[in-house]
Amino acid sequence: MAGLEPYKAAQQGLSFLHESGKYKGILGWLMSTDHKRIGLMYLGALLSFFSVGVTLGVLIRLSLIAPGSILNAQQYNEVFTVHGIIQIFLFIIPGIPVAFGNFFLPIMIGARDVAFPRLNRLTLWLYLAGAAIVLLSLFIKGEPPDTGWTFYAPYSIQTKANVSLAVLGVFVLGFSSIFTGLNFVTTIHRMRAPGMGWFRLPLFVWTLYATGWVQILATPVLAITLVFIVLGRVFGVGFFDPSRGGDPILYEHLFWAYSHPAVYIMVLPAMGIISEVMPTFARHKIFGYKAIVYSALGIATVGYFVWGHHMFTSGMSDTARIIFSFITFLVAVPSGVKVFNWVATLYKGSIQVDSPLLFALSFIFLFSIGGLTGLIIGSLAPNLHVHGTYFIVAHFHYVMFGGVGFAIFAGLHYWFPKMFGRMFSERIAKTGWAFLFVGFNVLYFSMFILGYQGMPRRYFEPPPQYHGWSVVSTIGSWLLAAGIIIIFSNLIRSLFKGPKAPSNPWGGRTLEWSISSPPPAENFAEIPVIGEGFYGKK
Amino acid sequence: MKIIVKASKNIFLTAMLLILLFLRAAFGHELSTSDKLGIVERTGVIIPKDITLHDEHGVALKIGDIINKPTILSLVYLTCDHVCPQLLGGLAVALPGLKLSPGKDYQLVTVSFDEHDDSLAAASKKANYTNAAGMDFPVEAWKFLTGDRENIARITEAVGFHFKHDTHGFIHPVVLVFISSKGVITGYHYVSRYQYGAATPVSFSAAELMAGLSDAIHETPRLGVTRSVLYCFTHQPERYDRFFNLLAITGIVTLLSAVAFFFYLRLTTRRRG
Repeated sequence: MAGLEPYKAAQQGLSFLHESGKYKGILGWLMSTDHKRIGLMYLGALLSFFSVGVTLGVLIRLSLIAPGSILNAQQYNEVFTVHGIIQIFLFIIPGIPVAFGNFFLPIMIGARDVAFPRLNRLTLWLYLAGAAIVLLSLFIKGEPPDTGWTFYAPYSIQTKANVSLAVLGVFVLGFSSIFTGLNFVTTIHRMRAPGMGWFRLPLFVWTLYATGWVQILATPVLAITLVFIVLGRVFGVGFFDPSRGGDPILYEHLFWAYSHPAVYIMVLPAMGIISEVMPTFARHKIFGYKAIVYSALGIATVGYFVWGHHMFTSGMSDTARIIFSFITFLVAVPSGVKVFNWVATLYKGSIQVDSPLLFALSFIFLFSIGGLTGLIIGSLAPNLHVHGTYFIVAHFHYVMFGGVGFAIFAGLHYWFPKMFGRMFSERIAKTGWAFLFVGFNVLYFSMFILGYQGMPRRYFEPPPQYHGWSVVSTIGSWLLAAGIIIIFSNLIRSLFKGPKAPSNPWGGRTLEWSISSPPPAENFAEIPVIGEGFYGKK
Repeated sequence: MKIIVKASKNIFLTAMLLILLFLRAAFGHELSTSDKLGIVERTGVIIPKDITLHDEHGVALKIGDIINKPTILSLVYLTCDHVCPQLLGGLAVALPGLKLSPGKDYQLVTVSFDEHDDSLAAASKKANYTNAAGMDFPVEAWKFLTGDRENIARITEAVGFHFKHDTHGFIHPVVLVFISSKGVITGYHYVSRYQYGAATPVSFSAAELMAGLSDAIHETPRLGVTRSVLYCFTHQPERYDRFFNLLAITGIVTLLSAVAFFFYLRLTTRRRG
């Protein structure tokens, strides 16, 4: 493609993995302000937490087919709470922006680092501190949190479990998120290479930009809500306690006013990854670049106004419910536009079915199921039927794991050669994908059936008529876990034994593929100048 | 650097705002329940027999004629959708556990302190709660009474029950009063716990009710153990609007800061290339 060749010559220096600055060893990593090192540390932490979360998830499924023999009821509550807190707050919300965003955003816009490298390092420290506080709440005296990941009041104000500490941890994590958003937005405004106009930005960068704004605007709402919970627990201030004149429904409003936009903090960058992977492996220009950009901005904007659909049964006026339902349908439109564009990108492409594309295609399939079932539960009448059932759990996991999780795996395989300078075994990666994909659908599609039949969520002991599908779902969890083990083993083995990766193994057209693998410490010896045709047709 | 200074300013302002909010909310509770709101126990006092209230058929009755056996008196307002229905529901569920015979050994009287409640509403509540008390619960054993302002004031004053009108309903204590067949107040049972999520958030054990009724049967006034009493609140007290205003202002300020930040970035970024 035009504009990439001239920078290659300048990229023969040491890789960032070898240039640690004035500190050595572990400090060389922790004190580093290099966006790539920070991204990798985030990635390591995220995937570690993800593994713990998956283990807890498998434990939940095991307990559900034999209630009482593995976990007692209180432990079950604790395990599903901790599973939720870890997967949501420690893995999937920070997920893509902090790991892949940190690593690739500056490179993709032709910059040497983010706008505020030290603030970036602070976000990592805040993330680690927040995670440590959350984990502390599990192990110190008293019981681990048992409220579910949503910390619903007034139970979260009353329970004797270590909710204050967990909430404090999430509060600290929130600041990490806000600062990351601030940093990325500033970076994209200020640090673009000459010629890198707004409509030459790679789509992954666009989604990070939209996400950045959501992080800046939505996360403070969560922070203040959590402060109110702690004020309620420690000082007895009754914002959410009806016996003191407070209102528990207000908590739900405030919580979801953050947590629904947070869904887009997770999903938008996932869509960004898919928008990078699809054209690369279709050997074809992305279809409808501007439509994808505007739909990302549309999702980020409209996504602020749909939180009420989490509360259709909580007590809300009919007018409010109809409006929230309508806007929920509205937000599906830009998502549909994207799906259409990705599929259209494949049309007349020269498709190369490598593992990143398999994960990306799975994303489109699973996210579509998640999105369409979202419309079922976004309609008022079916919502009353399936609210609080496994249907919601299935929908949620299809969007979060089937969507964001698969996009993370797509990104991981797509950028692995660039990040580590090593190739992985395609054959094993595809085997892992097959296990993951089949296991995922067995695990979660059975939940749709269970939910449709009326099985309530959060129950320690499901009523006996649901046992059959429950067993099927649990078997799915084993397949899924096997898939994840295969995928991780393959990647970890390749870190040490994989063949050296060329600078552009997939034929990518964005700037990161123009520099060596792994990239040198400051990315570009000379800041590139972006010409016409960048991101253009191959 | 500028941004960090700006950020620390914002953090400071937010902290100040939170402190103000906390002070306001922490002491707000006392302000709203000042003076007379609550219970002043009148144990041993005889309820004036000439207080006139209306039964579910609209018939005017004197309290002296109504209270002719040991009685559990509850004071609620019939349009309440907060704690009052839970109080009556909890009571209804507990009654079948008593070893006494309703209508013979004891009775229940529920008086609405909202002058706007009428006999029709009282009849509907009676049907609801006597039904909840079980198939064989005699309907005449639970009376739902309404009255005018003057008589309501007299009976609530007689039992020391102080309530307050609020924008969306009433604020009042949640309590059962035990009265002997001669109209003597023999004791109070304070409801002090609301169990969220339970089938009956306000619940009574058979032993608690039996203890109170036993005093009423034997005409032995007993002073209650001082405990905190639960209040029935409306969910949106007047001051709550201020909290919402504060949230709205904070939200708008955050939004405006974000917009300002966007324009700051747009206007001060040098164009290259």
